[in-house]
Amino acid sequence: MNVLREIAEQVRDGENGRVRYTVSDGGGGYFQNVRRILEFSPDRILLGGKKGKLRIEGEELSLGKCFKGDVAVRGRILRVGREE
Amino acid sequence: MHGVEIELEGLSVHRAIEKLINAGIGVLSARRTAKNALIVCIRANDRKKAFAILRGSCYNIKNTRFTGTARALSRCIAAAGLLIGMICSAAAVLFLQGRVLRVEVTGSGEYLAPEVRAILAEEGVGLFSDFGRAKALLPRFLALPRVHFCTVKGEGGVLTVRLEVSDETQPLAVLPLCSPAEGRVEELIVLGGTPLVQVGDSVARGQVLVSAERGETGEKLVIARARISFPIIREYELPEEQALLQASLEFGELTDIHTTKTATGCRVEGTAYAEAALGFG
Repeated sequence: MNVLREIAEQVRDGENGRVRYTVSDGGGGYFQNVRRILEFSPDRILLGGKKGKLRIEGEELSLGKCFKGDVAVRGRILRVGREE
Repeated sequence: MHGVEIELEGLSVHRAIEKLINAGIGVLSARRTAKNALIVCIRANDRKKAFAILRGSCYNIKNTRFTGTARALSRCIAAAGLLIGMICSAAAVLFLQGRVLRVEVTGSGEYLAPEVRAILAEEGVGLFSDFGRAKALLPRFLALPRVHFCTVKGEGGVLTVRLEVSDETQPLAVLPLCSPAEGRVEELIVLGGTPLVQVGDSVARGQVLVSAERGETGEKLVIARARISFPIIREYELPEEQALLQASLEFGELTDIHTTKTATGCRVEGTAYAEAALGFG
């Protein structure tokens, strides 16, 4: 049941237009529902979705494939946080 | 990955990535190089579209370069003439590698070079001929006089014919062995043929001593040597010493020598020897 609730929350986030992401520990990440790239530097990236923003902090950050709302971030991600 | 890297400079240069994405251009990668500069990599097919989008914007395009196979392809197109020349040279080398450009005759039979070249010309082996045609002429080279070993090699455009000759390759005689003088048979060695006389027999000059016999392959063989002794009596108008010298010069080996002074000079009597051989080295 917990798994189903988690899946439902993920789906709801996607429908609400928030940025969804998958991050590997000490590595890069994959972000979906990205509408805007508000900031981009080697230690900080700010992504904007339909609703809200997502802040990514880390080291030697760069962008991988960016296409149709999907953005891959390379480098070493240390923190990910939401901003309204 | 094959794409093109575009180096952009300007304020809020990261907005350029948004512009490209919103225009449907896939961004393969992007990285910051300076505070107001970044490098964006897109597919080579989208290059013109990307330039059209960025042309009217406030970003400076500092540099572009192809990456991956697109970069290699663009360099090949720029150096097309050089590539074509290299390919043509390689093809020419490969073609001429197996063709005759020069003929060399080596070995102890090097003096037979004119005959070798005549054989090659007769068979149509000349400039740019295939090496295989020359190698097929090996039996003809072996048939040259005194040649007992031959190799034909082709490498690097040079046809090398190596001939080795030998004095031991005497043709076997097909004639009978005849006596060189009238006298007595002192020695007779027969390895091939039929002896018609024996040691001690008296023979006439030109008499057949060993007749030819038919061999396994049909030819007639005589391998024999004979030594005939005959008496000599010769007068010389010379002193004794010079008369003996003259006699040895005329008849070679002399035995049982007896000299007699004459009114004009000296008479030399003795036994001389004559040899005849066929098929012996």
